[in-house]
Amino acid sequence: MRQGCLDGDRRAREFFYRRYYGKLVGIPLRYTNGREDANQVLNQAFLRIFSSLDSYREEGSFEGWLSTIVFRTTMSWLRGQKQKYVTVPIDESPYEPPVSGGVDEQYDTDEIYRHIQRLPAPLRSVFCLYVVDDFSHNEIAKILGITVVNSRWRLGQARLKLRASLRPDQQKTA
Amino acid sequence: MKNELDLWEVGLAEQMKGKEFSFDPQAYADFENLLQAESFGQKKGEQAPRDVDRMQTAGGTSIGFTLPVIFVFLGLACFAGWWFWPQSEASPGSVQTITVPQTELPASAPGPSTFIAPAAAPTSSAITETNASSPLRDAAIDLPSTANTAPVDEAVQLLDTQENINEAATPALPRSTYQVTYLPALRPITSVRALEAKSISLPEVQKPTPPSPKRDRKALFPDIINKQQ
Repeated sequence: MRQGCLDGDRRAREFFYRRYYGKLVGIPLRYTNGREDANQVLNQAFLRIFSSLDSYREEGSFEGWLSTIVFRTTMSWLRGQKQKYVTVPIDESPYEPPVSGGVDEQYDTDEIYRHIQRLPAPLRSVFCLYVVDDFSHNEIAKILGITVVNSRWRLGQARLKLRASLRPDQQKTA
Repeated sequence: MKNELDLWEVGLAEQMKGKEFSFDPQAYADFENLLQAESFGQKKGEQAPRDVDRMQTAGGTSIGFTLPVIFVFLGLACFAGWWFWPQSEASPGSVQTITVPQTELPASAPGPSTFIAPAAAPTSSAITETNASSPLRDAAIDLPSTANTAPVDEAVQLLDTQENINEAATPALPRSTYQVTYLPALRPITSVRALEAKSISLPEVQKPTPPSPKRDRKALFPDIINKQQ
């Protein structure tokens, strides 16, 4: 399949795309505003993948290599969107971590994605980088070009808002 | 996980990472379009340098403005210049003759019109004959007296005395000729008046008297103060 993609075989390319689309689209989807933006970013990433397939050395997992390209493309897109950020209303209430449990079972993953996408972009990016992709605040500050303090503040705000939207009843009682 | 997360965040992250989305055919169609545009852009980018120097004429034919074409144009221009330029110019062997109308000249100079160079500096013999007179004076007087007839050396000989100079300056010559009136000889400076040193005595300036330290308020504003009192 890889050789077919390198040779420019259209069917091999489509097969490759179909096989990895579902696994890779989640990366841009959690940083963008919706499916359209995510597809756009992923297509850019696929262009890079197809143009650099010959540079892949059989040293790590192929999916990991693909994910790295998609993540870097997403970060490039995110930096390009930096100027379009809107102002974030500050929630003054302090963050109180929940005593027990995770997200309610009623929420499936699509619903979680939808809630995350409702977050303001500056908060969403920091939350996903910290919680989902496991980057430290120093790394996030370097990736997004912000300060560590600002990264911490954004994470706190994102936690507040997301928790309020995912578990409104518990937020009210707490 | 190296970051400290709440329990609900851990679950959320796992759920999000493990999610596999369904295939979107529209996304693939967009990707194909993007790929085609990208490849078309690359081909266009490769062709672009060739198209830069190509001019499209109205009829649809194109003229390539390549370097050889420019050289051909330059060569044609040079050839045309070489072909047409000599015809408009006179041939190098021809001699131009200029006839000077002699309507006014005969009144002053009946002979052929000859140009006598002004004596820029007198010769050594002239200096001896003029008894070490100023060369500037000789040069200045040389023009009016011998403008039309005498050669330079003869003119210098005539001008060695003050009388000859006065005669030459007489208005006997017609108006058309040069007329230089008598130029007085340079006289050496006999006496130099030394500047006398003058001393100027400035009038004494009276020092302003300082104001009196105490002022009589009643004297300044008697009306107001008197009214207040």
